Amino acid sequence: MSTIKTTTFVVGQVLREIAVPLRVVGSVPEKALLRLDALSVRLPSRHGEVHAVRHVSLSVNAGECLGVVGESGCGKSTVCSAILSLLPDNARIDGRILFGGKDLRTISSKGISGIRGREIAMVFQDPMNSLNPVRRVGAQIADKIMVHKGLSRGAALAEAARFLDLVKVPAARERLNDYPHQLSGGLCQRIMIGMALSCEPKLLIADEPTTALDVTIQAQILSLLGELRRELGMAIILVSHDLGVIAQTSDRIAVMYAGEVVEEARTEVLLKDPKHPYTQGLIEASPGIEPTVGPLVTIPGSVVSLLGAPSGCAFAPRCRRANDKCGRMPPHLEPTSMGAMVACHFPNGWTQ
Amino acid sequence: MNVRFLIARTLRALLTLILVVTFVFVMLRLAGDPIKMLLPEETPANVIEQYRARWGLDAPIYVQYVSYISSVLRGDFGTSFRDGRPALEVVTERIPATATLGFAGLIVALLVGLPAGIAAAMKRNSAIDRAVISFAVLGHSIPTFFFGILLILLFSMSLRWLPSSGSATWAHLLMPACTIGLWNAATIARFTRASMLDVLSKPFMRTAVANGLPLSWRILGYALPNAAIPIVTIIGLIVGQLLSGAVIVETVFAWPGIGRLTVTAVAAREVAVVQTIVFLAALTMVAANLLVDLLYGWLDPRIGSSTEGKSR
Repeated sequence: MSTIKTTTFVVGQVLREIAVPLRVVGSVPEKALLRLDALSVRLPSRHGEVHAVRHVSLSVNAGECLGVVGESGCGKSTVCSAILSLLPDNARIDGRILFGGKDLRTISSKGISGIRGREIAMVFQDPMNSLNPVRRVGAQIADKIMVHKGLSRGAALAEAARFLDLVKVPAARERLNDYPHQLSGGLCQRIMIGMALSCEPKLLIADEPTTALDVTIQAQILSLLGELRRELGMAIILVSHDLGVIAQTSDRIAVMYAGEVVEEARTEVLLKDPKHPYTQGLIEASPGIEPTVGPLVTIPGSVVSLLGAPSGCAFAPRCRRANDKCGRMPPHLEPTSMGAMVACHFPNGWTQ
Repeated sequence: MNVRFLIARTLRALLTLILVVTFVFVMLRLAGDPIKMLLPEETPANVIEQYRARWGLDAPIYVQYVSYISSVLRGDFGTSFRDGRPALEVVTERIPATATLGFAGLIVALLVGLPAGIAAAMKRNSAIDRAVISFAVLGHSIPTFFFGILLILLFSMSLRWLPSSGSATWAHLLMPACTIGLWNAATIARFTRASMLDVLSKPFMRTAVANGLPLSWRILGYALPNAAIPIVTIIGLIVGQLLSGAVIVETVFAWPGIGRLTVTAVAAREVAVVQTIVFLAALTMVAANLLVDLLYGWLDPRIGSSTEGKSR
């Protein structure tokens, strides 16, 4: 069963979806801009091989925003890096990364260079350190434009100014001559986003784009990403440990735990009716979403070690509902009634 | 780079030079009475007094210091005993030979050391990396005089390709330049490797990859400028030593430069000449380091602009 549910609302489809209580509306894999097919990543470490990503299957349609949420070390950043082949050479990768029908894993190194930055752009967590400190920001954006569009430096700088305008950098033309250390974190992240957009990518991967920023700046950057997506019609994969951040901008949310996708659903479905106990825990632990009285809710325990494969469900040791079946058999992603997917033996609302 | 930074660094360089001159002055006084070293032991006391008065050595120490400083400022470094010419002239006429050798050695060092260090960092833990590390260790463990003699044995004695001594032709330059160059290349390779490794793991290098920049662009345009400061620092030290550091190599290859002059001047107790060499060597070192300091501000905009603060 494919994980794809089209999110484009054709008028007739809307009526049907209302009539038939949200069934899986026929999966159309060709429509997916990016499709990860049983992606696994193993990274060697001093203590042995870390199975950082386990059989992750995800897809993003053109113009769609997919949110990926999970706590630190759950493999969400590794997935992002794997898409653009940014992982170290000694990483062992299995599965397929299909982008526009091509498998990015088997593509030539020249081919992947043409996709990096041009077709798929990336924004990283730490904007201050993600820019070259000894090069003017304008020149850094221009470098990228020159490589992909073959413009002269002068023309590329003019393009750079245009994109800084687009991401609402004040006095964009003057900022081109600044070095990163002269700019604030929020401004650096705007410049990173402007740089990412400068070659009009089809997909933007934003890996914790607001984590290093103040809360007020965070909101600005998120609304900027939403606006740009509507304006430019590009797809976004938004990665964060913060469900509140993800919920604001995403059409669909994938919840990752210990290297696996444990639940995937449309945002409103996931927030209203989470099936996986981990998702439930995440929502309860998010102070921003539902006003809480009393102490903050936490999920007991901590993430399992990713060295070696757990015998059963990776979340079982922290789960309220776990029994001996969970310790023995790993659950697989299966569709639920609401068009969502969940990997749990005893999902919320489960009855014998 | 701002003006205040430039002025501060220049003043510091001048201060260093004054300290060096003072140090030379003090060392010469501590080393013993120069008159007693100059005159035979049985010289009568009144003759010693005469000499003392003539050289100004009877005056109080601070008067001597002031007159010494003022003559140094006028470019007067005393005269050579042997031929009565000004010491400065005796030394400066040797500068072109030493500068040629030093420059050639530096070129060799950069051409070998930089690419080796970059390649080692890019292919960490590979055969190339291990080869470069071994070369760096070996380069430092073999003394230059021994390496020079090895070269002479191979290329002059066995193969008879290159002349073993003198400075008549370009062929004469080859072996001494390689001896200096390879030794310094080992240093440069080690610093380049370490600095590049540090930079290659930085997040902005990942950004450059994610932006689809070609490898050569990333290495030369992004990694190297960021790795430059330690490399430039070590190159500055190498350049600073060029004038004084060639003593052994010039002696081995009979190269008529300042190094050879140093050896003969020390042997002949040519105090004024040795003093001039020490001063010029210090001047080169101070000038090279001043240049490096100024380059820092140009290489890394974060240095020297701390007073500006954030523009927004």
